[in-house]
Amino acid sequence: MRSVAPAAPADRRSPALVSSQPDYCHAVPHRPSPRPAALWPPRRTAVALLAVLTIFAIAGCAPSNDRSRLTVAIAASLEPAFTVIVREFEDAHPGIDVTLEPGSSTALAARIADGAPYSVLAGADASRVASLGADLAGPVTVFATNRLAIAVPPGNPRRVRGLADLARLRITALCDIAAPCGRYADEALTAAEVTLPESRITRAPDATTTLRAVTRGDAEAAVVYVTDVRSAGPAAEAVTIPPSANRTARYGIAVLAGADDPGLAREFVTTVTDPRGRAALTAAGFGVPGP
Amino acid sequence: MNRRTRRVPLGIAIPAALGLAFVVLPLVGLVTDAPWDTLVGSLTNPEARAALRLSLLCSAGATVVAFGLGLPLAWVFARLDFRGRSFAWALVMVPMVLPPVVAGVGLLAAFGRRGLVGGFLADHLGVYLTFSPAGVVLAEAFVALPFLVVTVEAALRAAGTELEEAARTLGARPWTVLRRVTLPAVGPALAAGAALAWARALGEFGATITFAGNVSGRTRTVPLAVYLLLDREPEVATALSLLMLAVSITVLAALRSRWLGRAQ
Amino acid sequence: MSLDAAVALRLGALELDVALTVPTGGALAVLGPNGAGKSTLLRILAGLRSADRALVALDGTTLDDTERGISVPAEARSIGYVFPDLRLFPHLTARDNVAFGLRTRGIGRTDAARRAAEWLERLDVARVADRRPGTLSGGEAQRVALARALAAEPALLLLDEPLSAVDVASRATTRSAMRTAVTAGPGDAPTRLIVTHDPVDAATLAECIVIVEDGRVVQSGSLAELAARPRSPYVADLVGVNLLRGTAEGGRIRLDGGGELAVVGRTSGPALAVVHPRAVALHRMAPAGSPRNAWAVRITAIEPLGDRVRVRVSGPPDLVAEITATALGELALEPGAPAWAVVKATEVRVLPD
Repeated sequence: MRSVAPAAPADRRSPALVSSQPDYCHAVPHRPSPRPAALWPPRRTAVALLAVLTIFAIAGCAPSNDRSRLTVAIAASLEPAFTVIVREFEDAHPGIDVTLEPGSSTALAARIADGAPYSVLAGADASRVASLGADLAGPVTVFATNRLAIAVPPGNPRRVRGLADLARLRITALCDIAAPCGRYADEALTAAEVTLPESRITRAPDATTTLRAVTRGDAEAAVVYVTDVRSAGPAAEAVTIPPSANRTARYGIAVLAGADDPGLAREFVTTVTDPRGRAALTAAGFGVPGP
Repeated sequence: MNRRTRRVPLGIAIPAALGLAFVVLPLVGLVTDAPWDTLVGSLTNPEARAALRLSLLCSAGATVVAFGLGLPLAWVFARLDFRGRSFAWALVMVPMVLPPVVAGVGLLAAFGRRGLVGGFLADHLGVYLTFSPAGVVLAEAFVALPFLVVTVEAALRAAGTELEEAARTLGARPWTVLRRVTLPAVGPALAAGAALAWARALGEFGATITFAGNVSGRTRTVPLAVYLLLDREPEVATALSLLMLAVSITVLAALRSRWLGRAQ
Repeated sequence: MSLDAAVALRLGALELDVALTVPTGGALAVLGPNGAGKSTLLRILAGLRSADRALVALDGTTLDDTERGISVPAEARSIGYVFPDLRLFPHLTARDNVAFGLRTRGIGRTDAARRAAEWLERLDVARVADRRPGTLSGGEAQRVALARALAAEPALLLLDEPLSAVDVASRATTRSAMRTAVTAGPGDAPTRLIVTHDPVDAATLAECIVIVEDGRVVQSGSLAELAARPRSPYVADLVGVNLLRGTAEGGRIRLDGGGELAVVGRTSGPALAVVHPRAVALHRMAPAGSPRNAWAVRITAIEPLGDRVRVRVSGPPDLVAEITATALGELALEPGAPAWAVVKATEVRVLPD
């Protein structure tokens, strides 16, 4: 029987060996300690989460008051001008809250047909507004006109001079064909005999969103209303479209059958069509029909 | 205990039933709302078909990207210890909590024409990522990546290094260990992570529309097409949504039974 | 040629400091209580763990030399490792598991499969070749794990608790299967290092046993040598004797734990007293005739051992007595009951410490 003495190999670096009295030893874990499941201790996470949710709940709940409300659905392009009109209306009618609901005229019309509780509709195509038929509670008044323009980034880096130049751009933003501004843009392009392949067009549901593709994104041009370009301020430049190719949008406003207070709604419509309203619209770049 | 005769406490049964109803009712609403008579016409609509094809291709591409980048990331987080690891982990999780439109804005800032990387790509390589299918893949991969990393990291961590050690004693070099031991061991988790990532990519809207725009045939995935179709042709919008639903349910159910059924 | 290893490591409360040598083809068993550092030692030799100071050479090749900064990674060492939890790859069949170590060395698929099948045959588990580890019994899985380690024909085979996964009934057969298998391969038998807490495993699988307690080697030799001269209570308990430490002086040993032991002989100074359990007699009442070694004790445990019974008593001193089952019945002893333990002075073997 060979026995191996607990002696080191002949080497000065080997450790000395002694018999020792055993004493308590810890078990040795080999795995690294696991990462805690939460970034914070669970309790703190729960409290933080609760706090955040409470804040959202409180913020979301508007203080209730019993002021009269008026909801006005407007084509997106009207928002700057109507904001001014609404402020004047509220000053003249204390106790009244007017809420603007901007969107694409088509989407708003669809929502009204579904029963959305708007009091007034101001859309970018008067005939479209008129086609609401039974949902209207009065006549449609044409209160403003608008024309198309090409919006480009400040400095016009791609040297766009007219609709024809759009053909050489990488991406042009247009409104969707369901919206009036999209229909008008397509008509204008046809009138100017310019064909843009679909792969060079990005579409958005309304004019405001379409313009955003230029002001916040990489689109090189957008066809929207002159009023939109003006309200974008320094973020965009306008390139004029000659009258031969341009289209005129005729805006119509009407009181809706779903209005809680038709009288109040009619007063609002009056404000839009009277000199104060016209001044606000003109300032924004709209055309106004003769008195 | 026999599964069928097990009694479920009311405190669990009621919320579970409510949860199921909560999720199922909108789907039921979609189905009942669907214009069944015009369904086929709606789906053979060229816009619809283009959107479907684009959605499937881009979501697949995004899953591949999320996989290619997410798997190494998950490995690093599961196996290495380094300073600032918790912080790095939180950063990787950010796309999960970021509002998608905000993610899109961020992507523009990085990869847009005037962005940090995008500017370089455009000026020196003539490569534009916005308004292109590549942009769609980028946006979708961005939001899908955290899902894959979370799933795979958890599985790698749970699997531990034991099998890897055994492989090393058998002469396997690190790459072989990864290929023949680690990845197969977490196979179900990889599949689950990829499925989650794919589902997220498929449904992505906000980042896609902000970064890649809404270009027919190139970036108009199904969610974006539905967005426009709601105003144009609401029936086609519903039909398309239903089809997306059917595709997603089919793929996820198939994955669950084949790959995800086993406990991880 | 041999395996020469000198390893030192501080890990928490454990201070491992071990040196050993195994001739090529030989087998050495490392025996010790849990937490003694045995597995850590094995992991260091495998290259899975680094040590504070290590000098490991296998057949002339340096595997570790901390002073010169040499440390060969595990995958580059010619080792086979059987883990206590086996660690068979769950997604591969038994055959593919065994073939793994061959494939990593570049051997082709068919060739590796053939050699794997041969190894499974040698360990008598050829029938499970196409099954997954999850479907194997403990004994089958153990044999597959061993086949996997042997198939790569390593120069050094490391076995960590090699029979832990095997149920008691199959231990004996598995043990002998392992003995034959390690020498059955085409090449030379590998140098073997076995870590275990079971002395029977150690005695059957190795020629030499090294006892490691608290990170240090306490004793080494064959099982017979250990039994003849146990050097620590652990070893004594292992080989089944009582070991008491104390200081001897003029026919008596003053025990470290308290009490005194009358002995024969003239030893003086630090001493070890070895008493075989059969030499410990138990009585219900204080024995008459005042024998010199009699203590009042309390019964702490009773373990049947066939037709004999092992009774543990606490004094001091703490002792293990071995009596017949009949005697147990007559004494009507039970745990917690008081009793008297008597040892004849002539039955005490005294060894200088």
